[in-house]
Amino acid sequence: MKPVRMIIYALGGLLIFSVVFFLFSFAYTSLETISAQNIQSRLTAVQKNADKKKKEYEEWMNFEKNYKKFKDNYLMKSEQFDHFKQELQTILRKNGLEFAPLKYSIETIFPDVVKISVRFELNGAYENIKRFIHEMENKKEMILFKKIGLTKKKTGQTVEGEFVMEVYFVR
Amino acid sequence: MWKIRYNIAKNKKIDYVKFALLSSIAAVVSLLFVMLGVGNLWSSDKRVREQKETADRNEERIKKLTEDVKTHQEQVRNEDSKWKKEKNFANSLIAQKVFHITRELDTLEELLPEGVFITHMGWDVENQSKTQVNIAAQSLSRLIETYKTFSEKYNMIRKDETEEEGLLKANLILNPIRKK
Repeated sequence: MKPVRMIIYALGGLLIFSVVFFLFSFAYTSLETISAQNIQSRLTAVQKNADKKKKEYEEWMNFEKNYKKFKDNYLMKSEQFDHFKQELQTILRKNGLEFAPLKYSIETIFPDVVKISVRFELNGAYENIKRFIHEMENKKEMILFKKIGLTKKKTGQTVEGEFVMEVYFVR
Repeated sequence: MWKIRYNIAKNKKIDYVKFALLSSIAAVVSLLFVMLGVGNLWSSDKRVREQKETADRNEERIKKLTEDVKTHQEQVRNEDSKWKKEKNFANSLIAQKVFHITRELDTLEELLPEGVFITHMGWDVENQSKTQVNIAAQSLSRLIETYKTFSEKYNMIRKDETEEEGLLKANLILNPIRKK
């Protein structure tokens, strides 16, 4: 009886082994594929992050150049200050606005950049004030309205305006 | 005592033909499974090897990119601390430059119903989106209509509401509703 039992055990073992081996072959190839796909998707995410950081880095590397360009294009030269004062008064007059003397104050922002605040009050028709604001807003240079107060006069059709503007100059 | 009459020995007789047949089937099936397994490993071996090579290359690339990111981050941090003030300065000017008061005036003109007029308006550009507006309406219905139209575009805070010289006056703070 013993050899028969041994044959049964051997065949049973062989059958189990073959089934396990067959299943393992599928599991192995599937696991390898999944692992490779995971690495690929991790690479895509890392690549995306690296591209973003590289772009940020390149932007920073160009910052000095771009900042210089910004100053050259959008800040007035300090020599232009007198011209700016005249131009501002010309625009006010051109729009039929009466104004009190303009008050200027200077603040150094960086060793090469100064901010000049201009305070003034004016009086005129609403449409003319709006046109003046529009004209100043459309200037390419950094001429900014910091505060504006427009009050309708109790008598007549005119409006009183209080303005604070900031203009940036580069030395 | 009971006597067992069942003869166990007769059941121990093996049908060798049947046994040989079943054993052969089991052996063939096992062999078949082994062959299928080997065949599967064999056929996917090249693909798996390629995938492994690609995965190894990708792992290397990930390592290199992570190093690059670290280096770039370090350099960006250095540049940021060097140029931070200038960057904030330029960005703040650009943000103020794109705010147009004439556009705000146009919006208020559009929204204002007939019989209502503005007596004062003011902007503090530091607080750029907020507009302070004082209005005067000829009737309560006009005033309510103004509130309604302004509320469609602005978050509105009503500060003082009075009646003077037959006009209903209100001081408002308007903050544009940001669309998501």
